[in-house]
Formats: sequence, C-alpha cells, structure tokens
Amino acid sequence: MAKILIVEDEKVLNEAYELILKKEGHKVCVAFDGAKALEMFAEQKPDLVLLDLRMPKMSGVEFLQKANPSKNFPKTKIIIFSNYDDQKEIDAAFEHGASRYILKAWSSPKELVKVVRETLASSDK
Amino acid sequence: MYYKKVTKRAKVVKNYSKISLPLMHNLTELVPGMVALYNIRTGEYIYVNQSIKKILGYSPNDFMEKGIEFVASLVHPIDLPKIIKKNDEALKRANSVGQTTNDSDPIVSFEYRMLHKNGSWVWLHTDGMVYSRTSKGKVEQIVNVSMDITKRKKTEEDLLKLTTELVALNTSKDEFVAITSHQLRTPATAVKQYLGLLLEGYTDKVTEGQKVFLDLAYENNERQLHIVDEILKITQLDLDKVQLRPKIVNISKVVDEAVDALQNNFRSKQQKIFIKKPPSIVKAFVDVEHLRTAIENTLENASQYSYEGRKIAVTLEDVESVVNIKITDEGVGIDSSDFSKLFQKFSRIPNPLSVEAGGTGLGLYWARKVVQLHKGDITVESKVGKGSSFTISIPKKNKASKRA
Repeated sequence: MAKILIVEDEKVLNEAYELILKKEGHKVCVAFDGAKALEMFAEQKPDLVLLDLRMPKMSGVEFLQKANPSKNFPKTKIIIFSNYDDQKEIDAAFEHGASRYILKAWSSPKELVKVVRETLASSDK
Repeated sequence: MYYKKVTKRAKVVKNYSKISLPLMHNLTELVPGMVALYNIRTGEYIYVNQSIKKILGYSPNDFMEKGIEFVASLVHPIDLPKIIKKNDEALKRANSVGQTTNDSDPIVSFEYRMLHKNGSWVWLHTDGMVYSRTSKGKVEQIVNVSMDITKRKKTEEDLLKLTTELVALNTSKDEFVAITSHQLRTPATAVKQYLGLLLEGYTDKVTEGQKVFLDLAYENNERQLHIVDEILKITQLDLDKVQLRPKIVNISKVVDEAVDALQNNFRSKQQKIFIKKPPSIVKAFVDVEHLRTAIENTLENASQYSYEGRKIAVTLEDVESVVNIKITDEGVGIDSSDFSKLFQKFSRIPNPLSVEAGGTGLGLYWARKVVQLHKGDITVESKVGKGSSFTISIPKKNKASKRA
C-alpha cells in the first residue's frame, strides 16, 4: 500500500495504469503533463513515481531536473517508462534520480505490478 | 607528336607567311577547342584559331588585336584570381626547370568561366603548354588549348542539386517512418494493457472460448509491437542516431551468448549447432549488445531457412587484424542474383521453405548496418539447394563510429 503518482500524457495508458495499481490497493494520483506533475509531486509527496519520459511541453527528464527528487524527496522512488530509442534520456533520468526503467510497450499489467512491488520493497535507490 | 614538331619549328613559326596559312587554318579549324598562342612577356596573342567564334562569339582578330588584358577582362571575377595564381606558379616551375623533353606536357590546367560575346557564361577547360623559350631558356610563348565544358558543368550542377534533394527526401522519409511508428506504438500499447487486464481477471472471469480469442489477440498485438520496435530500431540506424558503446571484448563469449539466445529456435527444428573456435582468446573493440544482435539475426536467418534436423556451423576465425564469424547452414540456399536483395529492408526471396512472414525482413539489413558501423561487413556465399555461408568480418582495432 503506497502512494503512487502516475505521470503519463497518453490518457488511455494513464487510465490503464491507474486501474491496475488501484486494484493492487495503492493510492493513486495522476498527472498528464510535467507541469501538473511538479505540482502534485510537491503536494502529495508520493512514495513512488511512474514517469513517462516522452511528454510534450516538459519531458520526463526536465521534470526530474526541476523536481530534484534526490535532494528534495530522497525517499521517493522513481520508475521511468522508456522506449528503445531513449538511451540518452534514460541515462539522464538516472542521473537525476530515477532508480529503474521499464519498457512501456512491453509491460503487461502483471509485469507492471511486479516492478512496482519490487521497487517499493527495495531499500536502496 | 604534333606539339613536339611545333616546338622544334618555334623559330619558323615567327615567319608566319612561310607556312601555308590556309592549310593551318583548315587544320586548326578541325580542333574542337580553342587554340591560342600568346607571348607571356608582351601579352600579345600571336595566333588564335577560328573555333573562338563558336566558343566565345569573338573573332580571332578580336583577341589578337586586344591582347591578354582584354582576354582577362572576360574571365569570371571569382575565377580570375585563381587562374592568375596557378599560372604564375606554373611559370615559376617551368622557368626553374628549364627546357625539358616534356615541354609538350601541359604545365597548367584550369577550369573557369569566360563571358561569351552574347553575354552568357561559358565554362572552359584550358591546358597550357610551353611553346617556346628564350635563348636563356625562360618561357616565352605559351599555347592554350581550351575546350567548352559548359554542358558538363551544368550536368554536374544538376546532379549535385538532385543528389542533395534526394538525400533530404530520404531523411524526411525516415523521420516520417519514425514518427508514425511512435504514434502506432501508443494505441498498440494500450491494447496490450486492456487485453492483459481482461486476461488477468481484472474484470469478470473470461470463458474458455473467450480466452482462446483473447490469447490470439494478445499474441498478435505483441507481433505488432515487435514490428514497430524493429522499424524504430532501423530508423535510428538510418537517421544516424545509433550510439555505439564499444569496448575490448572476448568475441568467443559474444558468439556463445548469441547461440544461447537462439536455443529455442534451434530446438524447435531439431537443428544441431557446431561451434568452432581458435585455441587462443580472440578480442576486438566492439559494442557487445549490437554485435550480439547482429550475430543472432544471422543465426535466426540460418535456422529459418534450413530444414529440420539440419546442422548449422558457427566458426570463429582470428585472421591477424580481423575477426571473422562464419555462419554456415545446409539450408535452401540463395541464388547469386538475389545477393544484393538479401540485405535490403523487407526483402523476401521466394524459396522452397516458404517461410511465413514471422519476422520483419529487417534482421539482415540491421545486422549489416551495425557491422558496417564497426567498419566491418557481412558477406555471403551460397548455392541454391546446398546452403549458405554468411561471414561477419570486423577489424579488431577499429574506430567504431560512436555515431554513424
């Protein structure tokens, strides 16, 4: 049972992830863009953030740079959604506080739940 | 031959009237280019042939009366300084070298524009030859033979323009493919999620019948996602966005890993793999992930196009500065006329195994491009009905481009 923030600009995917994680018993809040995400991040102080890298207006990496979780919220775990061509972004995201990444297109609901559970359970970043 | 004879008779030419002028005019008329003889000390044009009329619209007299200053005034302002410099350097060389038997060879060549009498620009190619020297051996007279190359220059310009356009078009095509593939991926991912939710019991329990259809849908959705992945990987290559991370690696290990990754393919067709390696360790500077995938793609090909129970041999060769990974199968083989198609995108060569379109037809294209990024190549030898042999060659110490 954790507080999870989902940051994903595609509504249909956002809703699917919300459904999956709520079913697991987590408390879920959502944001569809980086700006809103910053707001919710500061407000809700989630235990875990599911962060999409590719978003219009503000990318996942930009969000991390502005939110600076390693400094401001060191206890929060960040999982980033990525695709194959995001190698540079993935590296940048890890530099700014991400602890794990999953390939968005390849995660079934079961897999998503598993990764979230493992990340929450792990004590180190 | 002609030039040598003329040089010998340099002194005779001064007495023009001694040679039949009509004969000379007739002969030089036949030369498709302009022939001009001028004195570099006086700047005087001693002789210009009739072709000048065709090429520049002027008469020989126009040049002969007005001399080199007039001629220079017709040269394109951008080209003139270069010509002057080249000419001066050539003269210096010719003067320091002195009379040689090679005076008939051009001492200088240049391409430049001159203004036609009608106001249009003409591209010329001129060769300058030493015609006569002073008693002290210094160059006195030069013969310039000039050809009109305007047509050729225009063709070159047009070609360059076309090539630039084509390259731009190709890039925009690749960008379009990348964007569209990304866009396809999103709804395909959503489908995956919702099918997953159905299959994993997030709503009402599904019946057996429903599960069968849902499984099929899920499987095909995975295929969709796989194809999109492949296309995106390839557009990355085509758009020169691939970042290689090479390091010194034991190639033998990479080969083993690649073979391992395809165990299911081999097992399902009862194909036997034989790996042959040299006694000592073979190392090379490569990007492990990319090389392994290239080997996997080639192995997958070998498996797909071989019958059941056949053998596939993987040979690692250390050839001084190069590493060879040879994959030989006893499969359907490829006709040599199809070799060029093999490494193209989406190419499908008809064959007796009529392999169903399980793959994307992109494996070999990707493999070769990646190997080429390592400054290597993939070559093929094959005989229809007997089998094929693909060789991945990579220089051990290569400046593997981090970006294509």
